Amino acid sequence: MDYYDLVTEAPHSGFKQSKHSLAIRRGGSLDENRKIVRSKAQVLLNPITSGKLTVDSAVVEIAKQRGVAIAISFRQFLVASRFKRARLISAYSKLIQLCLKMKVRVILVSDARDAWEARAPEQLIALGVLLGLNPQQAKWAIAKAPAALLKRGGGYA
Amino acid sequence: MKPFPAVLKERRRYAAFKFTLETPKTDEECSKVLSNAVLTLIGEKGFAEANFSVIEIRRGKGIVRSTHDRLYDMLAAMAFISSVAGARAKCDILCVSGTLKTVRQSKVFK
Repeated sequence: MDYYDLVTEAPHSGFKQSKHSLAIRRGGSLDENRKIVRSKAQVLLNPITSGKLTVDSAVVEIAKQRGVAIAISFRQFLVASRFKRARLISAYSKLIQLCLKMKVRVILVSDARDAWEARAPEQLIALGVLLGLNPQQAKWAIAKAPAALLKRGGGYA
Repeated sequence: MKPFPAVLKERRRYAAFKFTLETPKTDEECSKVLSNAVLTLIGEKGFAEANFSVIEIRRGKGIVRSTHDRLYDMLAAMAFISSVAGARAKCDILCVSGTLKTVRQSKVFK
Protein backbone atom coordinates (compact mmCIF):
# COMPACT_ATOMS: atom_id res chain seq x y z
CA MET A 1 0.00 0.00 0.00
CA ASP A 2 1.22 3.46 -0.89
CA TYR A 3 2.03 5.91 1.82
CA TYR A 4 0.29 9.25 1.67
CA ASP A 5 1.52 12.18 3.63
CA LEU A 6 -1.46 14.28 4.66
CA VAL A 7 -0.43 17.90 4.79
CA THR A 8 -2.64 20.58 6.28
CA GLU A 9 -1.22 24.07 6.11
CA ALA A 10 -2.41 27.62 6.43
CA PRO A 11 -3.19 29.33 3.12
CA HIS A 12 -0.30 31.08 1.33
CA SER A 13 2.41 29.21 3.24
CA GLY A 14 5.17 27.66 1.19
CA PHE A 15 4.20 24.16 0.16
CA LYS A 16 6.26 21.61 -1.75
CA GLN A 17 4.27 18.70 -3.03
CA SER A 18 5.98 15.34 -3.06
CA LYS A 19 4.95 12.37 -5.16
CA HIS A 20 2.82 10.70 -2.52
CA SER A 21 1.46 13.68 -0.71
CA LEU A 22 -2.09 14.92 -0.65
CA ALA A 23 -2.36 18.67 -0.35
CA ILE A 24 -5.20 19.63 1.97
CA ARG A 25 -5.65 23.28 2.77
CA ARG A 26 -8.02 24.94 5.17
CA GLY A 27 -10.19 27.63 3.69
CA GLY A 28 -11.18 30.97 5.14
CA SER A 29 -12.27 34.12 3.40
CA LEU A 30 -13.42 34.33 -0.20
CA ASP A 31 -9.99 35.51 -1.40
CA GLU A 32 -8.22 32.74 0.49
CA ASN A 33 -10.54 30.11 -0.96
CA ARG A 34 -9.96 31.49 -4.46
CA LYS A 35 -6.18 31.37 -3.99
CA ILE A 36 -6.33 27.83 -2.61
CA VAL A 37 -8.31 26.41 -5.54
CA ARG A 38 -5.89 28.12 -7.93
CA SER A 39 -2.87 26.65 -6.12
CA LYS A 40 -1.67 23.06 -6.20
CA ALA A 41 -4.00 22.06 -3.39
CA GLN A 42 -6.11 18.98 -4.02
CA VAL A 43 -8.58 19.42 -1.21
CA LEU A 44 -10.13 22.62 0.12
CA LEU A 45 -11.08 21.84 3.72
CA ASN A 46 -13.78 23.90 5.48
CA PRO A 47 -14.20 26.73 2.97
CA ILE A 48 -16.77 28.31 5.30
CA THR A 49 -15.63 29.16 8.81
CA SER A 50 -17.75 32.02 10.09
CA GLY A 51 -21.23 31.12 8.87
CA LYS A 52 -21.00 33.52 5.93
CA LEU A 53 -21.01 32.03 2.45
CA THR A 54 -17.37 32.60 1.52
CA VAL A 55 -17.53 30.53 -1.66
CA ASP A 56 -19.03 31.77 -4.90
CA SER A 57 -19.73 30.08 -8.20
CA ALA A 58 -16.34 31.28 -9.56
CA VAL A 59 -14.47 29.39 -6.82
CA VAL A 60 -16.51 26.24 -7.43
CA GLU A 61 -15.98 26.55 -11.19
CA ILE A 62 -12.19 26.83 -10.72
CA ALA A 63 -12.31 23.87 -8.31
CA LYS A 64 -14.08 21.86 -10.99
CA GLN A 65 -11.56 22.78 -13.67
CA ARG A 66 -8.57 21.96 -11.45
CA GLY A 67 -10.07 18.83 -9.86
CA VAL A 68 -10.04 20.25 -6.34
CA ALA A 69 -12.38 18.49 -3.94
CA ILE A 70 -14.28 20.41 -1.27
CA ALA A 71 -14.13 18.79 2.15
CA ILE A 72 -16.53 19.49 5.00
CA SER A 73 -15.53 18.50 8.52
CA PHE A 74 -17.99 17.30 11.12
CA ARG A 75 -15.91 18.85 13.89
CA GLN A 76 -16.76 22.35 12.72
CA PHE A 77 -20.44 21.67 13.45
CA LEU A 78 -19.70 19.81 16.67
CA VAL A 79 -17.74 22.57 18.40
CA ALA A 80 -19.96 25.40 17.18
CA SER A 81 -22.60 27.04 19.36
CA ARG A 82 -26.29 26.57 18.50
CA PHE A 83 -26.55 29.84 16.60
CA LYS A 84 -23.30 29.37 14.70
CA ARG A 85 -24.26 25.79 13.87
CA ALA A 86 -27.49 27.02 12.32
CA ARG A 87 -25.54 29.55 10.25
CA LEU A 88 -23.05 26.89 9.19
CA ILE A 89 -25.82 24.48 8.13
CA SER A 90 -27.41 27.25 6.08
CA ALA A 91 -24.16 28.28 4.38
CA TYR A 92 -22.98 24.73 3.70
CA SER A 93 -26.40 23.78 2.27
CA LYS A 94 -25.94 26.52 -0.33
CA LEU A 95 -22.38 25.35 -1.02
CA ILE A 96 -23.57 21.76 -1.50
CA GLN A 97 -26.22 22.98 -3.97
CA LEU A 98 -23.48 24.75 -5.92
CA CYS A 99 -21.20 21.70 -5.84
CA LEU A 100 -23.98 19.39 -7.04
CA LYS A 101 -24.83 21.78 -9.88
CA MET A 102 -21.19 22.17 -10.95
CA LYS A 103 -20.39 18.48 -10.29
CA VAL A 104 -17.53 19.21 -7.91
CA ARG A 105 -16.50 16.39 -5.61
CA VAL A 106 -17.64 16.79 -1.99
CA ILE A 107 -15.90 14.96 0.84
CA LEU A 108 -17.22 14.51 4.37
CA VAL A 109 -14.63 14.05 7.11
CA SER A 110 -14.79 13.92 10.88
CA ASP A 111 -11.56 15.94 11.43
CA ALA A 112 -11.53 14.57 14.97
CA ARG A 113 -8.82 15.77 17.36
CA ASP A 114 -9.53 13.01 19.88
CA ALA A 115 -11.71 9.94 20.34
CA TRP A 116 -14.61 12.01 21.72
CA GLU A 117 -14.96 13.87 18.44
CA ALA A 118 -14.80 10.77 16.23
CA ARG A 119 -18.14 9.75 14.74
CA ALA A 120 -19.45 6.67 12.97
CA PRO A 121 -19.88 6.72 9.17
CA GLU A 122 -23.68 6.62 9.57
CA GLN A 123 -23.53 9.88 11.47
CA LEU A 124 -21.38 11.53 8.81
CA ILE A 125 -23.91 10.33 6.24
CA ALA A 126 -26.65 11.89 8.36
CA LEU A 127 -24.75 15.19 8.31
CA GLY A 128 -24.49 14.97 4.52
CA VAL A 129 -28.23 14.38 4.22
CA LEU A 130 -28.85 17.29 6.58
CA LEU A 131 -26.80 19.53 4.29
CA GLY A 132 -28.69 18.52 1.15
CA LEU A 133 -27.04 15.40 -0.25
CA ASN A 134 -29.11 12.29 -0.75
CA PRO A 135 -28.03 9.15 1.16
CA GLN A 136 -26.22 7.66 -1.86
CA GLN A 137 -24.29 10.88 -2.49
CA ALA A 138 -23.44 11.11 1.21
CA LYS A 139 -22.10 7.54 1.20
CA TRP A 140 -20.06 8.40 -1.88
CA ALA A 141 -18.73 11.49 -0.11
CA ILE A 142 -17.32 9.52 2.82
CA ALA A 143 -16.06 6.45 0.95
CA LYS A 144 -15.55 6.61 -2.80
CA ALA A 145 -14.66 10.27 -3.23
CA PRO A 146 -11.64 10.26 -0.85
CA ALA A 147 -10.52 6.87 -2.19
CA ALA A 148 -10.59 8.16 -5.76
CA LEU A 149 -8.65 11.22 -4.69
CA LEU A 150 -5.92 9.10 -3.12
CA LYS A 151 -5.82 6.70 -6.06
CA ARG A 152 -5.64 9.28 -8.82
CA GLY A 153 -3.80 11.99 -6.96
CA GLY A 154 -6.50 14.61 -7.21
CA GLY A 155 -7.88 13.81 -10.68
CA TYR A 156 -11.47 13.04 -11.43
CA ALA A 157 -12.81 9.60 -10.56
CA MET B 1 -65.56 3.10 8.80
CA LYS B 2 -62.00 2.53 9.84
CA PRO B 3 -60.74 4.79 12.65
CA PHE B 4 -57.53 5.62 10.76
CA PRO B 5 -56.82 4.44 7.19
CA ALA B 6 -53.84 2.11 6.96
CA VAL B 7 -52.50 4.00 3.94
CA LEU B 8 -52.05 7.11 6.09
CA LYS B 9 -50.10 5.28 8.77
CA GLU B 10 -46.61 6.58 9.28
CA ARG B 11 -43.63 4.38 8.55
CA ARG B 12 -41.46 4.09 11.61
CA ARG B 13 -37.76 3.59 12.04
CA TYR B 14 -36.09 2.35 15.18
CA ALA B 15 -32.44 3.10 15.93
CA ALA B 16 -30.34 1.44 18.59
CA PHE B 17 -27.78 3.69 20.21
CA LYS B 18 -25.07 3.56 22.81
CA PHE B 19 -23.73 6.39 24.95
CA THR B 20 -20.01 6.58 25.64
CA LEU B 21 -19.44 8.71 28.73
CA GLU B 22 -16.37 10.15 30.38
CA THR B 23 -17.94 9.81 33.82
CA PRO B 24 -21.01 7.67 34.63
CA LYS B 25 -24.38 9.40 34.31
CA THR B 26 -27.93 8.21 34.89
CA ASP B 27 -30.14 6.95 32.09
CA GLU B 28 -32.61 9.78 32.74
CA GLU B 29 -29.91 12.36 32.07
CA CYS B 30 -28.92 10.60 28.83
CA SER B 31 -32.55 10.40 27.71
CA LYS B 32 -33.10 14.10 28.42
CA VAL B 33 -29.96 15.09 26.48
CA LEU B 34 -31.10 12.93 23.56
CA SER B 35 -34.54 14.54 23.38
CA ASN B 36 -33.07 18.03 23.77
CA ALA B 37 -30.55 17.41 20.97
CA VAL B 38 -33.29 16.38 18.54
CA LEU B 39 -35.53 19.27 19.64
CA THR B 40 -32.66 21.73 19.19
CA LEU B 41 -31.80 20.58 15.69
CA ILE B 42 -35.20 20.05 14.10
CA GLY B 43 -37.35 22.33 16.26
CA GLU B 44 -40.75 21.77 17.79
CA LYS B 45 -42.57 21.26 14.49
CA GLY B 46 -39.93 18.81 13.27
CA PHE B 47 -40.03 17.04 16.61
CA ALA B 48 -43.78 16.61 16.25
CA GLU B 49 -43.47 15.42 12.64
CA ALA B 50 -40.70 13.02 13.56
CA ASN B 51 -42.86 11.51 16.31
CA PHE B 52 -39.63 11.09 18.22
CA SER B 53 -39.54 9.07 21.40
CA VAL B 54 -37.02 7.18 23.49
CA ILE B 55 -38.43 3.65 23.60
CA GLU B 56 -36.03 2.28 26.16
CA ILE B 57 -32.66 3.06 27.71
CA ARG B 58 -30.65 0.90 30.06
CA ARG B 59 -27.02 1.41 31.09
CA GLY B 60 -26.44 3.90 28.29
CA LYS B 61 -27.83 1.60 25.60
CA GLY B 62 -31.26 2.08 24.15
CA ILE B 63 -33.67 2.45 21.26
CA VAL B 64 -35.26 5.57 19.80
CA ARG B 65 -38.09 5.90 17.30
CA SER B 66 -38.86 8.34 14.52
CA THR B 67 -40.71 8.43 11.23
CA HIS B 68 -38.84 7.17 8.17
CA ASP B 69 -38.58 10.58 6.51
CA ARG B 70 -37.05 12.19 9.62
CA LEU B 71 -34.57 9.41 10.31
CA TYR B 72 -31.47 11.25 9.11
CA ASP B 73 -32.43 14.37 11.04
CA MET B 74 -32.60 12.25 14.17
CA LEU B 75 -29.26 10.57 13.45
CA ALA B 76 -27.60 13.94 12.81
CA ALA B 77 -29.02 15.33 16.04
CA MET B 78 -27.66 12.34 17.94
CA ALA B 79 -24.26 12.89 16.33
CA PHE B 80 -24.17 16.48 17.64
CA ILE B 81 -24.29 15.31 21.26
CA SER B 82 -20.93 16.12 22.84
CA SER B 83 -21.68 16.24 26.55
CA VAL B 84 -24.08 14.85 29.14
CA ALA B 85 -24.48 16.86 32.37
CA GLY B 86 -21.04 18.42 32.02
CA ALA B 87 -19.19 15.23 31.14
CA ARG B 88 -17.80 14.57 27.67
CA ALA B 89 -19.92 12.09 25.80
CA LYS B 90 -20.84 10.74 22.41
CA CYS B 91 -23.80 8.81 21.12
CA ASP B 92 -23.05 6.06 18.61
CA ILE B 93 -25.66 4.48 16.33
CA LEU B 94 -25.61 0.69 16.52
CA CYS B 95 -28.30 -0.25 14.00
CA VAL B 96 -31.43 1.04 12.31
CA SER B 97 -34.47 -1.04 11.46
CA GLY B 98 -38.17 -0.83 10.68
CA THR B 99 -39.28 -3.09 13.51
CA LEU B 100 -38.49 -3.17 17.20
CA LYS B 101 -38.04 -6.92 17.10
CA THR B 102 -35.20 -6.73 14.57
CA VAL B 103 -33.42 -4.03 16.55
CA ARG B 104 -33.68 -6.01 19.78
CA GLN B 105 -32.44 -9.18 18.08
CA SER B 106 -29.48 -7.53 16.35
CA LYS B 107 -26.07 -8.69 17.54
CA VAL B 108 -24.72 -5.20 18.10
CA PHE B 109 -27.56 -4.33 20.49
CA LYS B 110 -27.41 -7.45 22.66
